[in-house]
Amino acid sequence: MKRYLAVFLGILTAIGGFVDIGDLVTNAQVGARFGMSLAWVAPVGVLGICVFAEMAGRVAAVSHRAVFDLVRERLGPRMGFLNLVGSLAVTFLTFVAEIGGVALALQLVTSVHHLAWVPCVALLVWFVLWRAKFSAMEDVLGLLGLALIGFAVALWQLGPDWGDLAQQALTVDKPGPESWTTYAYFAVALFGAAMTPYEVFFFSSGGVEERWTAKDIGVMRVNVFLGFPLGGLLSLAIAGCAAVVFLPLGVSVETLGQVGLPVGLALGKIGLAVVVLGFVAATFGAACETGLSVGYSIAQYFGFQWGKYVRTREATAFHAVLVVAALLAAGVLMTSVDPVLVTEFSVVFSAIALPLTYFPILVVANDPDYLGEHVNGRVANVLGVVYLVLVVVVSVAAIPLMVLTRMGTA
Amino acid sequence: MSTMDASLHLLDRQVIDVDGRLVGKVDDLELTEEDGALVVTGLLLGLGALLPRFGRRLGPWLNSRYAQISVSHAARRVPAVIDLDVVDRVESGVHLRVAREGLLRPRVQGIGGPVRHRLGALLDLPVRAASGQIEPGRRPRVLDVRLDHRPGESERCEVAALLVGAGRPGALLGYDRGRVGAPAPVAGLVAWLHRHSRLVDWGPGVEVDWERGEVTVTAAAETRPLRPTS
Repeated sequence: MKRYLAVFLGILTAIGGFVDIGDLVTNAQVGARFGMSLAWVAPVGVLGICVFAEMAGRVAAVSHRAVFDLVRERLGPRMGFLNLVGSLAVTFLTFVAEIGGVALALQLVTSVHHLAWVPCVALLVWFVLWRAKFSAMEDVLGLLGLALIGFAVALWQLGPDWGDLAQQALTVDKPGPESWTTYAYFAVALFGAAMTPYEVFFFSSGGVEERWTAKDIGVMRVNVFLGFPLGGLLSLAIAGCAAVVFLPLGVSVETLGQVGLPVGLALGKIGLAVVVLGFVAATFGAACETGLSVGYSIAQYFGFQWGKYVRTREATAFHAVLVVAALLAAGVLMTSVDPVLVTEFSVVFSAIALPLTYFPILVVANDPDYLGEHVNGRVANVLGVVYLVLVVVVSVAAIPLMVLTRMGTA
Repeated sequence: MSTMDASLHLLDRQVIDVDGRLVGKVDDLELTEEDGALVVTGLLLGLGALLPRFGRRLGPWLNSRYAQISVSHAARRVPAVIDLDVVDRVESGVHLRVAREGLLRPRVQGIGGPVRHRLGALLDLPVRAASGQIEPGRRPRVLDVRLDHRPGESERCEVAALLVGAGRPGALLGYDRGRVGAPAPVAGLVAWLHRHSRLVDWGPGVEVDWERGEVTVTAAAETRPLRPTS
């Protein structure tokens, strides 16, 4: 019984932890401009992150090596370092965006300007990373993140023409005024939002933190293949709400407040309060995950002790990196840069950086030295290669599309 | 007899102490000349070992910048060494049989001691080969070094053969050793790129010029294809 409860809890936290600031902003923006015509990207991205996370989780469970251990072992110090710099830049950008997201969500609740919240949020994130137990942090924030189910309830209450939404989703078409290049640009952004690299750094390092062994592979797979897709459905609900409310009015989404507005319309104040709680929990949880991922990747490249499974004073250098990262992130936000803009950059750069870490994991997941009998099967390899091609194509296309569409504003 | 490839299985691996705590990465390996053989005697850790591996030009430049940060330290470029005797076993990481506290210190070497080299200095060296030994015109280099025993076993662990071919160390990704065959497109591509790579047995006919940075393979050397031809 206890075991089933643990599995159930794992699935719930995987759902609640799936959505972050990138998913919130990008899905609402795309819903408002393109309706459900880009809805097909979500399942493609979610299946991709499932394939990628399952391989990394399996390697972590069997060999106790996390993503950046593998990057350095397979690519050597020089290529590995370039890879570290690229991945770290994207993860840090996402960290900045998440902290900004928490501050914006708190502004919605308190009407106090988000810049006043930034230092407090950064301090609180650091405090959680310093003191909180790893599993407690994951469970509490993951469960609170489930408040975002409010979007699914709101979509149902809005009573849209489901046939029309389904038709938008299933036919290859776009709203008249948008060009196909913008359509492609937002497809890349949605893909990057669903397949953010930090999710995999965090997932595999978390497996080492929680001391997974080969016996835990089954539970890990259930979490990935149930939790992630159900979390992906929340992304679709966010897009759906925006499509129903904003698309007919021709309003574009520029702020986090607008993301939650459809819920307010459908469910009133209580509903809005619930999803704003969801915003805070989801972005705060993701801020913790990205902050840790910054520390994980640097420590795993250089080999010093990392993780919350040892006492803080046994991993001093790791905790020092976390302090510096939190300070830097707060500093970036205090320049009064718009957190929504940072988010837009972070999802596109996520798409660009994906092949850097995807490829080494695909290679190692086939190496019996690491995995013994648990190497990739045929299905994992077919999907693995299909997604290898896909992430490379998306990565190469991202910058030209970004320039051509002026980040989707053209 | 269990062989292992130094670059593929040992370099850049995580070092873990007896209590499961992390020590560092294997940034380089210490090779010692013992009556004609080249024996692995220690793991080298630290930026002094890592930075020179960033390439033949960039590496020394980075290393001298690193020394310049604090010129008053005489031993700044000297990496710490972990004797191979304290290695318990090599899995996906290198497990030690001692605790990490106070473990890392540089090798103290008196005058007239044994001649020591680094694996990083041997990898990527250009190979000049007598005709017929290695496919000419492909700028062959040392890609990896095959060791005859695994660290942690009772026998000494010495260089048995050089893996010579085109490209750069690490470019084989482990596909060449015949153990990894999937996913097929990646494996096929690597196998095709390295179809001319060969193993050159360590012994007569193989000479390393550490000063000039060059390996010479004469007609006396024994060479064979990387994988047994099927």
